[in-house]
This record gives sequence, structure tokens and C-alpha cells, in this order.
Amino acid sequence: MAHFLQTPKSDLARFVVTALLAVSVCFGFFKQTKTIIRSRPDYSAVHTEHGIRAGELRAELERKFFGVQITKMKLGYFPASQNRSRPAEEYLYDAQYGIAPYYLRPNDKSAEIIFSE
Amino acid sequence: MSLFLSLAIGYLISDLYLDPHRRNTWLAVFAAPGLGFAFSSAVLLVNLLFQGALNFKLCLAAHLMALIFLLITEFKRQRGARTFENKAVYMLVLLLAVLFMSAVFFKSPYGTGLDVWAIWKLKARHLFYGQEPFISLKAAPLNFSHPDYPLFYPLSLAWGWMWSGGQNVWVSWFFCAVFATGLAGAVAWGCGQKGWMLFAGLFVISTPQIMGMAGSQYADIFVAYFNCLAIAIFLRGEENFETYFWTGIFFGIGTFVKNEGWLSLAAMAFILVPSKSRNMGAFLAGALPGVILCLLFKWKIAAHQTTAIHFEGFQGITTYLQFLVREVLNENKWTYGWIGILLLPVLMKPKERKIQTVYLWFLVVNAGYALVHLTDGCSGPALENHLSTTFDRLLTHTFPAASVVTFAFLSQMNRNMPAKIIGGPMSSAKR
Repeated sequence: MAHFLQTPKSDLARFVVTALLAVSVCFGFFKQTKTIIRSRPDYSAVHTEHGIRAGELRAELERKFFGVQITKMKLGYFPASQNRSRPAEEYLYDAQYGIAPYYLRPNDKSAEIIFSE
Repeated sequence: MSLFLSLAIGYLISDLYLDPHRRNTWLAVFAAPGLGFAFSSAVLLVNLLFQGALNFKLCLAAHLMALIFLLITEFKRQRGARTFENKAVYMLVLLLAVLFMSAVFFKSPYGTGLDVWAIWKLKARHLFYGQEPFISLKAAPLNFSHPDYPLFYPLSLAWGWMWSGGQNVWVSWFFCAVFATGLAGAVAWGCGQKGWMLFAGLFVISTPQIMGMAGSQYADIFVAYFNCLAIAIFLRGEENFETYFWTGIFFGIGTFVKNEGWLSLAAMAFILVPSKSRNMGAFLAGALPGVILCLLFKWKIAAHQTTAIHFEGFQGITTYLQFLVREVLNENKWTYGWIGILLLPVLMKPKERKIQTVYLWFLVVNAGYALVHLTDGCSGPALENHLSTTFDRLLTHTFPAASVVTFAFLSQMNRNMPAKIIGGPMSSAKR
């Protein structure tokens, strides 16, 4: 084993991989720092979007959400995909899968929809 | 507070049973989140099974009783103070991990990605607010959120919210942060030598995909944590009952985190059985608590979805391989990490048995993922869509464990060091 490790081939392989990993570390930190600096927070834009489209969104959700009457709708921050706002259409897509009104039990006739924490 | 209580219980379990001779202080620290939150989620699951809903007072009483029992045991043992070796190295790794994660937290406080909300936080909300989570978790509108996914993450979030009285971001931040720092620490600890420890820790933190997943609060980071810790203990432990038992414990808990945990556990069992390892029994015994927990959930709470099995054939394999190459070379996510990890065993054939075992485990797990992708009934654009949404997350599960074995192998190749470095530190003080 010791003899094998002393051959130039193993030295070269070790050097190549170590160097590659070292470059990877430097590049990774650079990349992450750049992303952090450049990316915008993703909650303010969503907040505005909700405000504009609230009424339209409520009507659509009531229709799509198996006839549940939405009694109260609280708007606020909601997770959005990074670096972009989350348009109402995506809520409608989620609603088809039963996701938008987070706290809705199977037999509920009406619901409060809370988009925020 | 409830999260600190879980951490304290986890640390005491590590200190008393995982590292009873206090020779691996940092291991006890990094294992604390895994063991602590496994205990908490087990208590909450049992409470849910018996009462149908979560009861804060009962759960708190169970935690306090466990804490008191562990503290009494700790007192009785009358051991000396712990010594934290290589403090500067570990502190630098942990601080950098927190720094990079915090940046993501502040940019996107509620977690990015649909799955975080549609699967994990949605379930946590049902468990926390719901009158009848047994029924609501199986309701048809929730099919999208995979009613067969285990409840480790949602139960842990609900446990945090129970103490604070309502849903908040701090619980998920804290929860993800302790696991991600534990993960970074475990990678550093796993490679075994001081110089390489720092390198290994920095390597995993510098990988954008890992810190991104942790900051975005995805459950995949917990799977990665349990895989990584199990592999690190397996590599650095001696060939004895304890090593295999604790390896089994962490793989076992992994099954209660995500369904992919079953594949990690099965892959290791699949490798150990033909080797007729004397410690196979210890490994299986260790896996048992986590497996029982998961089976209880599957039996009593989970709703099962059936998937048609259909092999995609040559077309599917081609699509899969294209994705594999594209993903491994994606420097925005992995920088050059995968290239280095995959290049090493190709250039240098590992001789040490445990390192060979871990490489084999890595191959079997990823072959298993490939098989699932190629037989789950998706084809053409659907398969491409499936791969584009899941492939990087599956690679996240094995990346930290692969990093541990890479750095352990590299440090073993270092000619200035003894040829065999694996097999000591679980029982020897310093290296």
C-alpha cells in the first residue's frame, strides 16, 4: 500500500482532485456571495401582487374550490419562488390541488383563507 | 424553547450513549439535532396515535420526564468535563454555514419552492391547527402533498409552534439551521484529520445547492444529514457493535424523514448482508426504532397512492443519462464538487474496505433512484419534467455523504499520515 501510494500516478491523482475541490470551494463561495448580493427579497413584490388582485383571486378560488364560500381573506406575505413574484394564476393552479386555503377541512362549507403566516 | 428542549435531550442521548467515553465531543454535538428531534417527533406521533390530535401538555411532560431521566443518569456517571478539540476549525465551519444560510433566510423568510409549503408546512398546519388530522391528512384535496410522506419535519415544526402558541418563521429557521450546521460539522468530523476537516467543512458549505436547500427549508437537507452522519460514524468507527448500531440508528431515523430514507437503509443492508458482517445484527437492531416509527405512521395515518410500474426503456435511459451529465456539470448548483467526488475513485481504486463499502452504497442508492425514475410510469416530457423537479434534490441526499468518503479517502492517501486512519477516533481521543 505504502509503495503504491508513492508512485507518481497516485500523487498526480491526489493533486488533481485536491486542486479541483479547492477551486470548487473558492468558486462556490464566490457564486453564493454573488447570488446573495444580486437577488431581491421575494416577499415585497408578492404583497403588492396580492393587493391588486385580491377580489379577482377570491372569486376564482371560490369557484375552483369545490363551492366553498370564502368568508374572510387575509392577505399578506406568502412564499414565492426565489427572485420573482408569485402571480395569482399560480394560486389558482395550487387551488386545483387543494393547496391555497391551507387550513380547510374536508367537510367545511366556508373558509377563511390565510395566505400569510 | 421546545426546540432547545429537544436539542438538550438529543445532546444528552449522544453524550451518554453515542459517545459514553467522551472521546468525540463534536460528534455528540452534531448528532444532537438528529437524536433530539427524532425523540420529539416520536413523542408527538405516539400522542397523535393515542389521542387523535396533539396535546401540548402531554408532549411537554414526556419531554421533561426524558430530560430529568437523562440528567440523573448524567449525574450518576460523574464523568469529567468534555474537551472540545479543534475548536477554531469547527467554529469557522459552523459560523460560515450560519452566515450563508441566514442570507437565504432573510431574502426568502418563508422558504422557497412549492414543496416546502405544499407538503411539509401544509402537513404541519394540519397537525397544529387541525381538529382531526387523521382525516384531513388523507383528504382528497391533499393528494398533491403526498399523504404517504413521513411526518418527521411536520411534527417537529408543530412541536415548535406548540410552545410559541402559533405559526412563525423562527421555528423553521432554527430547525433548518441546526440541521444544516450539524450536516456541515458532520462532514468535517467524518474525514478525520485536522487539515482536511476544514477543507471538507468549507467544501460542503461552499456548494450552492446544499446551502440553498437548507436556507430554502427543504426536507431533503434532513435526509442528507442522516445519511451523512450514518456514513461518517460508519467510516470513523471501529469494527464493533456500537459503530454498526449507531449507523443503523441514523439510517433508521432517515426512513421517518422521507421515503428516500428507505432506499439509503436498504442499500446499506443490501451491501452488508452478502459480506456476512458479524455486526449486521447490530446494524439492523439500530435501524429498528426509526423503522418502527415510520411503519406506525404508514399503518395508521398515511394514505397510500399507487403508481403504475412501467419501464421506460432505452429512450428513458438516454433522457436520464442526459439529465445526470447536465446536473453533475451544473456549476451553479454544485460548482465542481461532483466532478471531484466522482473522479477520485476512478483515478484511484480505494483499497480500504469501509471506503469501498461507502462507494458501493453511493452507487446502489443512486442506481435505486434511477430505477425509480425509469419505472414510475412517466415517459417523454413527463419524465423530463419529473427529472427537472426532483433530480437535484435526490443528488442532495448523497452529496454530503459522498463528500465525507472523498475527504476520508484523500486524507488516507496523504503520505505523511498513517495508511489506515479509519477505525480509531470513535474510541481514541485525538488524531
